[in-house]
Amino acid sequence: MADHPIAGKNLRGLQRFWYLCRRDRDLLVIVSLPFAFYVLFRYLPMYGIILAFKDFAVNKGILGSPWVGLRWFEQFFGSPYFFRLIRNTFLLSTYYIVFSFPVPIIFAILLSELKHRWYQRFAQTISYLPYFISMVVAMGMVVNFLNPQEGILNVALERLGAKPIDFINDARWFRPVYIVSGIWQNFGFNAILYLAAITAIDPQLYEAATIDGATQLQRIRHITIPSLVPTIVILLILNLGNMLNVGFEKIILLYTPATYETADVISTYVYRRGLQENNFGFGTAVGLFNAVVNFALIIVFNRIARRISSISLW
Amino acid sequence: MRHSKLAVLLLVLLSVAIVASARAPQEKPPATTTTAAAEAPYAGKLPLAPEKVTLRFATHKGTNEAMAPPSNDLPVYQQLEKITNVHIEWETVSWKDYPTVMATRVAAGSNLPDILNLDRLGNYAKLASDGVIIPQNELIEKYGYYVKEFFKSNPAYKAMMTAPDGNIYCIENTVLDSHLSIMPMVNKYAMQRVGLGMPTTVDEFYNLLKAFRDKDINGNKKADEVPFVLIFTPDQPWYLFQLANAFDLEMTWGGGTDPAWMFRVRNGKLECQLQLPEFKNFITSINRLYTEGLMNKDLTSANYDRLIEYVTSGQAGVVSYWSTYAYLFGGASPDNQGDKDGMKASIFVPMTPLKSPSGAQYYTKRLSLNGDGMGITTKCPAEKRAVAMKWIDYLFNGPEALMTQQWGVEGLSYTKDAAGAITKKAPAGMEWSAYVTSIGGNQPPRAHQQLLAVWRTWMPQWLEDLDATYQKYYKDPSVVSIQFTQAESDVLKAKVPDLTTYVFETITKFILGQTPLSQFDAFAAELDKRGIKDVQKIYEQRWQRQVKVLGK
Repeated sequence: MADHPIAGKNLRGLQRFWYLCRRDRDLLVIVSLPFAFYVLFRYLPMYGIILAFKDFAVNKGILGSPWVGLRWFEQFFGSPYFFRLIRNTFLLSTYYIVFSFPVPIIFAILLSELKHRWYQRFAQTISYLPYFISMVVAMGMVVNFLNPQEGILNVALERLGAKPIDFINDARWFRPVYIVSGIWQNFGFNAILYLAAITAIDPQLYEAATIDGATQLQRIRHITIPSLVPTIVILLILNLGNMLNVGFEKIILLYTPATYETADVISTYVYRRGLQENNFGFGTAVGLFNAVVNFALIIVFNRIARRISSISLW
Repeated sequence: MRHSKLAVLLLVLLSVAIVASARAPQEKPPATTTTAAAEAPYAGKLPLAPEKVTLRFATHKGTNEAMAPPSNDLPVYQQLEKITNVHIEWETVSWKDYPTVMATRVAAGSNLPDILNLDRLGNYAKLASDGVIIPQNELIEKYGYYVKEFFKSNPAYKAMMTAPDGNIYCIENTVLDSHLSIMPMVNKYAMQRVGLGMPTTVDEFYNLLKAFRDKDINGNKKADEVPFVLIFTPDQPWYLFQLANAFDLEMTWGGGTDPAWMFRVRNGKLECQLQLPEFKNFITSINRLYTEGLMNKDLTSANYDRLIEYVTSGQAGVVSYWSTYAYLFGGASPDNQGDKDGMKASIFVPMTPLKSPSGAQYYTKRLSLNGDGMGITTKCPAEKRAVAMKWIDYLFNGPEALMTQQWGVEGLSYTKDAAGAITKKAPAGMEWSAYVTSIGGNQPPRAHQQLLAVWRTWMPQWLEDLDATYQKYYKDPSVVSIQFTQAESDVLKAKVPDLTTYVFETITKFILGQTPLSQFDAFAAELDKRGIKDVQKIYEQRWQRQVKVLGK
């Protein structure tokens, strides 16, 4: 498309600003709603961060509550569980990313290679069904499957001559249970993005490769995977930037006191100490700590990605 | 032109949204004086208001899933509205989620109801100083006709509902503390099949469970027996802790989040039970049951439905749960031969307490208040506070309100003849108690008295008779749940969550055999390091106040 000459290119300062606003008003209107969303729901609530330094009293509000300095941070850093929480959060996130991240990519590639369209659609639908089961129901199913006495998995183990395993009460098994159940819940849905990216690959590339005698594996290796790299890198950076944001709902539904050693993470601790004890200052302080670490992580990983692959978020 | 109009319209909408989303300035709490000051003294007469008054009440749905949560669609609540002339807009949240949901709303300081159940929302005095609720003393004085009547005959309850600063911040739920409490229930037919009787000592109990495990009590020729089933989670440790009585401990159920079960008073001294050799013996004994396959392996993830499954399959010989449910377990058992809901005869029989090493044989009474309480919020307009208090007062102890609790609605679930004799009524094929529960009767999840008369209406005769013979076993708890000061609450808030995390984690590992019991002394010493003495000090202060106000 040829460039249009800028009608108001000779204008300067405010006049040029108003001219451009008038010219692009439709675009501005479109962008105004997401802009308002971010201002209202992402930036304005940030003033609540000061709760981390206050002893919150409802009638005094956030601004009127008395300052307590770093009391909540001291309580968190001084907790006997501080290092355990950090370790568990990091390990659970890292293992989850390592084991779950490649699954939807592999699944999407395998699906795209299927010749029968009906089977492709059928497999895709079945794979993302667990994503739509509520977390409470899904974890109820997991707990039932893993029941030490009558769970389907332990019955199978016994039939095979192995000893039953108390998956729910053995701290060593918590992480595998968390990760495998997470993969089961999410891989189908997460594959949608990669499938879309695969669909966008120019079919001429595959045709040319086929004419040149490339096998199916070679086509995947030399066309599909390189075309997916930008999507993979961006999603990986975003995932890494959320490393400390392990959600508490699933863990609360799965853990028992016997598995706290590997299962108790920052968010479950905040739930018990911040929300259940109505200690919102403490909860905010830990949340702020979480956010700062996540922010640092996303900067570091973005820089690493830029250096290695020249693909990055910014 | 059309585009610019659209742009202007969208911008206007956006501005309105921004303005609307801005938080309204903090409203000043209305004065606590009421407009009814000049009226004649209130004498508990119905209706409570000449014109229909609407109040919003936020509460939880109760712990009993079988109960119908409050709703204006239910005849009992329609009847209450009819007689009181007070329309309640109910907001109900599940019992488990209630503190999280409501504490967040309380912290936001907006959208508060007129009446708020204060269950697990923290220290009442702190809520009042934060401007969430108002003290009710003056209102009770003027409009608490039935509450005052109740206090006159039960001064100990008044003392327990009064905060250390002298204020009453809410009328609290009173519980039946010595009737069919949590206790193990034994299948009497299983006992007959193994040729053993009701156990009276820990050893006899152990031998009974072994016999249940080894002698195929469900007769399916499979070694699938799970002799003793129960739930043990940080939320619900009581089904196990009740057995601690057999080791001279008293791990009393307090409701709410009060960890009163950690302490007892002996020889005029408050001590932490978790550090005593008796507690070690108790945990050792439970560990033996677990490792020898005498208890359910899923005790940390089981729930009531799971216990029922064990009973239905005939695998369980003993169930630890509320013994008011004994007839329901009996109804579910394969030993039940056509006795619908187990109402006619016993199958699962509440167990007599096991004798402790000192020779004592007791169940500890529950704490008398369980944390449910009806507070009036600062958002309740001044002109409505009198009616709010009258409504709380009437629901708590008013004669017709108690009738709805016990019998449901006249004409629907009961009839009364000229002499006042009551006849139960239910649709054909429906069990009466299930019917009354379905229309909103029984014990609704709002602050109320648990009355023996109501309770008797519901219990099968055999269970009521058994309860009468068990009265001699109930013992008063030495630590009673009276209120903490704000300063005490602050210390507990900082210390207790980490302590209970450590305690439950370690106890569970002891029971499951993941931590050897040789580590018990290290556990007791670690409790000191983690500040149990600071918590104990707070409990000592509270106990001293308890002695002062209750005389024991």
